[in-house]
Amino acid sequence: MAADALRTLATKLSPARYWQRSAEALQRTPPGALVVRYGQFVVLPLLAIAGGLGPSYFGIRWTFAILVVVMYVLLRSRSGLFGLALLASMLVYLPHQMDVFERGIMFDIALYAMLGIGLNVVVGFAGLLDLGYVAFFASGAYLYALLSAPESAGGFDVGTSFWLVLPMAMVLTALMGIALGVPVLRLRGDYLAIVTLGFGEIIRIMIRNEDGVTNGTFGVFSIPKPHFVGRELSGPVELYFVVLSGCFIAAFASERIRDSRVGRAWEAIREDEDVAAGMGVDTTVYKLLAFAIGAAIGGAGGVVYAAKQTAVFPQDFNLDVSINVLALVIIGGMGNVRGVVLGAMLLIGLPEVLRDVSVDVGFVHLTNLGADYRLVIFGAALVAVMVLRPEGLLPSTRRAAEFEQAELLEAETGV
Amino acid sequence: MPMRKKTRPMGKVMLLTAILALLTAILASCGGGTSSKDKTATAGAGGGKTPAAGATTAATKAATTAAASSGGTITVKKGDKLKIGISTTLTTDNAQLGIPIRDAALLALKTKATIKGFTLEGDPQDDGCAGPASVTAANKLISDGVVAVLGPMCSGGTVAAQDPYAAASMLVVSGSATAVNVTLTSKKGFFRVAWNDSTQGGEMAKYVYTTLGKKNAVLVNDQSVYGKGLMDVFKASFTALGGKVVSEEAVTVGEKDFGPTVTKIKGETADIVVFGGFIAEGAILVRQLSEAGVTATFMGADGIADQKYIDQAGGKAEGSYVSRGPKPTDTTKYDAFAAAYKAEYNKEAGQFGDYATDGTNVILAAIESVAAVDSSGNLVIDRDKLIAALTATDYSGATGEIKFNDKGDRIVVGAVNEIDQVKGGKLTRIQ
Amino acid sequence: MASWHYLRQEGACVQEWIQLLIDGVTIGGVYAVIALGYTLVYGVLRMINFAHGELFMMGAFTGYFTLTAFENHSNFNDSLPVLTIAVAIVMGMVVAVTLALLMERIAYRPLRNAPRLAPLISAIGVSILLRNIMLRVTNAQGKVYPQVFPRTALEIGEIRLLYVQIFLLVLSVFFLALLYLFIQRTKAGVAIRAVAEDRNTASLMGIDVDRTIMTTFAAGAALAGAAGVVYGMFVTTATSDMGFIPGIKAFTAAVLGGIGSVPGAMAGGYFLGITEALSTKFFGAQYKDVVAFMLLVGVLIFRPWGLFGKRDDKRA
Repeated sequence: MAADALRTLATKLSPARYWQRSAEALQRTPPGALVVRYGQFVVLPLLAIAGGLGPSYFGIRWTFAILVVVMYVLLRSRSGLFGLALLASMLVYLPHQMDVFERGIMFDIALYAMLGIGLNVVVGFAGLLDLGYVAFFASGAYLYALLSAPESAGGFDVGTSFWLVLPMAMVLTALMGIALGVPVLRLRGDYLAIVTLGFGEIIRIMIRNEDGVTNGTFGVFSIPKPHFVGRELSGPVELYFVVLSGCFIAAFASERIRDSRVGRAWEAIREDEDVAAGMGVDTTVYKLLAFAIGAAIGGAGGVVYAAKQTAVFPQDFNLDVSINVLALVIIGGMGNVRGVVLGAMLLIGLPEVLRDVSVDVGFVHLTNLGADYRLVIFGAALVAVMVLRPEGLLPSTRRAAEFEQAELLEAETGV
Repeated sequence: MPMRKKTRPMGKVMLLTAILALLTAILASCGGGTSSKDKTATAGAGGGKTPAAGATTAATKAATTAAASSGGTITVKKGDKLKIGISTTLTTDNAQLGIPIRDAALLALKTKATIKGFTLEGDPQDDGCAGPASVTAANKLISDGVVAVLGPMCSGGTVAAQDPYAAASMLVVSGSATAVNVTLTSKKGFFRVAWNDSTQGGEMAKYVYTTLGKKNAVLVNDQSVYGKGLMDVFKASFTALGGKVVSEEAVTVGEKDFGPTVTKIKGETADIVVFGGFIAEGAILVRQLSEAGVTATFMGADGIADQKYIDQAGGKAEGSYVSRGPKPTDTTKYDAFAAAYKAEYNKEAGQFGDYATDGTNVILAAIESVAAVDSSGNLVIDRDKLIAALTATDYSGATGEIKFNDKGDRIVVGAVNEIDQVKGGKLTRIQ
Repeated sequence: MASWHYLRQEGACVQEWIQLLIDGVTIGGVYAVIALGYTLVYGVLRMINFAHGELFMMGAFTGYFTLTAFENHSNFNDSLPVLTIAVAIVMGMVVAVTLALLMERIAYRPLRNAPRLAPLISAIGVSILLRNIMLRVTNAQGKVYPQVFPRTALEIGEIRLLYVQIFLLVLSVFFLALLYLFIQRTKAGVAIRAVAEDRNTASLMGIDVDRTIMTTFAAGAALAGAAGVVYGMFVTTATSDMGFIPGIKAFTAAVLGGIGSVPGAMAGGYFLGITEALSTKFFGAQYKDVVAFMLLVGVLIFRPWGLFGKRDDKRA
């Protein structure tokens, strides 16, 4: 197993193989496409350097813009290894160059990317519309908060370690996912949407009302930071890396599962549930599995969130969180983990980066445009992205194919 | 099912993980990398990491340890502006409370104009009246290099944002976070000119029980940290005095029709309805209670202490009581503030405007006493000294005498809890 | 918590029950009218128009602005209250319909053949946009309606019904009936039903699909706009977030009744309103949403297609 992996790694890394592939490609590709394809090897490093040095010179707004462009080009390109290496190094390197606000944003982006990856399993892979994802996020956050915070701050005064709560939360939320899944399995599409939405609300309201257990409206605070080999992971950067690794693990796991038997079963369910069932796919089990996996990732995200935030309140886990996560999955491109990352950058980053924007042209003086109008711009941006790229910014190849098929079908029938 | 090409990203992700692990290892060995960024004011101010706090084990000790570590200094370069952060709510409907806070703070900065030749500038940030957004606003203000912060607006957001502020040794003065748990654990550099609800809730209960002589109360809260907290304090004090809480109800923020709740209250035998919450819900509740023929007296607190409450209730707020927290009987300073606000913005000051202006002025006074111009003409402010200066505050402003105890709460000096009654469509002070 | 001794108390208790039912029906009627918009649009487009609640909010603001304009520039409000109220309602409908057609044209039509969730996100975008535009337009200040409708009440024993509440009740029933007739009896209604049944076949039969979809949006929006004005008069205030909660509740009501079904949306709305009122009494207002959603799950477990939905409906 390990040997195989190493061999794959070696083959992939081998320059010989790379050039061989390029040579083949060279013969087949028209020159114009070549410029585009190989031009990125010049442009991208420059952009990456600009992105890396950005915060010190251009300020957060331009850096963010550059970062998004780089991400978009990298993630779309087929240059694969090179691009992803560049991307990974940027994600790791950048926060060290940033100030506390920008690091906070990076943390939020990484956290939401992780949640997006989790929700993507449910929505993107299995095709189950879930508007109550916040329930798992909240449960994870509250589990860590209650198990770690001192009694005076609303906790149980147990002082359980972060690393112990993390798997506990994942198991708990996975079970919750199954518990939610069982009654709603017979429902499809939009019925599922409203039931999951209700589930999210119920969890939030119960956390708020059961103040004997959760300290209710007043929340739980003084939540300790996790320790790692004797060192406290105190700042946003340290926890950012925890989330980032969480992201990569979740991304890796979810892509592996997608390409396995389970993934193919989900695909079949997504395409046509009745046919899938007819072909002998046990739809119940696979749907529950999707719920459980998605929920577990959400729960893990909640634990890290509570650790970073140090205070959790029921009202922080409202419908907006579910909507945001769903929107970033769809904006990014459903079914595609890379798309989710890009979606998180745009949806979570954009409103924060807009904070400082002001317009002062001619007779238009909108100082604090960002602070006041950022949500207006955000709403318009959501519409614009969807109208211009309905399949998302980075659709999975499989999904894009489905979409084209649908379009062809529509064109044929003349609608 | 169409044939599928061999999946591409699989191996790549594995590779990526390997590369990432390598890179993380390399970067980790660099000790986390010091920020190459040179933002003038954050230099050495704990804007980045606080390794000193790394030694703490229990969260309860965090505050004391942080207090022991040095806060560093802020340097404002010659010619730069001296920035004061304003963390308040500018989006969602809570902005109707947040915008007047921002305006009042900006007005205070404009009035003062300069400190030791350095022009003052406000930096308003939206804190969304919630935990996550308040933390983001805090990070933003810290990285903007503000000297001190007025805010956050809401109690929940304040509790959440206290940690990042304390880690940066930032001086934070809130003019509107009144909940009890805000100062439950004392955080370095946090003060509030708003009254702790434990002060106000107790005073309200006393007034209801002894002065108004009402013994049976229905409590209604809006399920916010503020509303629920205030009603909890009220309940404890009221029952201790011998009063009876007949039932406790709740309303949902954002809803506009509380018919069923009102009907339920009507079925109880209460002689007063006490409300903890804000204007939008308070105005609807008092109107619907009156329209449903409930004869019990209505009383609210500083969350509804505004003319908008009376306007939105459409004449049905007449006769209701509003507690506003301890206020001096001499209102000269408040009147001066209200007049200045009216002249500047051509509207009435909001209910927390006077607290916002006092909070800003307290901050400015502390900066003025601590800031020193060094040889090259830069303004140097020691963060620890700044916080110490605020602890020693003795200031008389629009909201009365301001002195702080060691938790950052205000001490009642020469003031009684103000109770207003709505008479002829205006809030009229009766105590 | 629930205690059955409430049931055994007599006299005042019965009247309290009736009052609770009236409260429930009042808000339920509003849910029903908004839910119709959801259900109609869902019927023809299979999309959840998340911005539908915002049309209700825009209606409420239009009503406020119209009535205030009358208040400030003439004495119409005093001399001809019936006329000004009618004008306000019509204005509310016009504004809501215009907005709905605009949003259909700009945000939804380009997405008609897009993946199923793209229009949902686009609708969420429109919802955020409208809410925040109104927040800036009003500078976050809730607007207070001028008092056109006298706020006196009809009293029967302990039961009190504001006349404006009666107006709201009657009007919602009237709108529901009107829409039902429109769908069942008119040509446009038949077209809507045909498109809902099968868009391609309808198009082959010579039905202008684009136009029918626009009619659907317009019909739903007109109801939401009118409901916004009347609800605004009832609660006397208009704020930028007032469409959000009713929107979610109406969506729940539509699903409860069986999404796509017009009588289902009506029944779902009233059912939800009454459930909320009763659970406020027994469990407290903080639990009413929990009860409502639990009930929804309960209903859907036994009837996955909703109370009035079609059983063999593939899309359900």
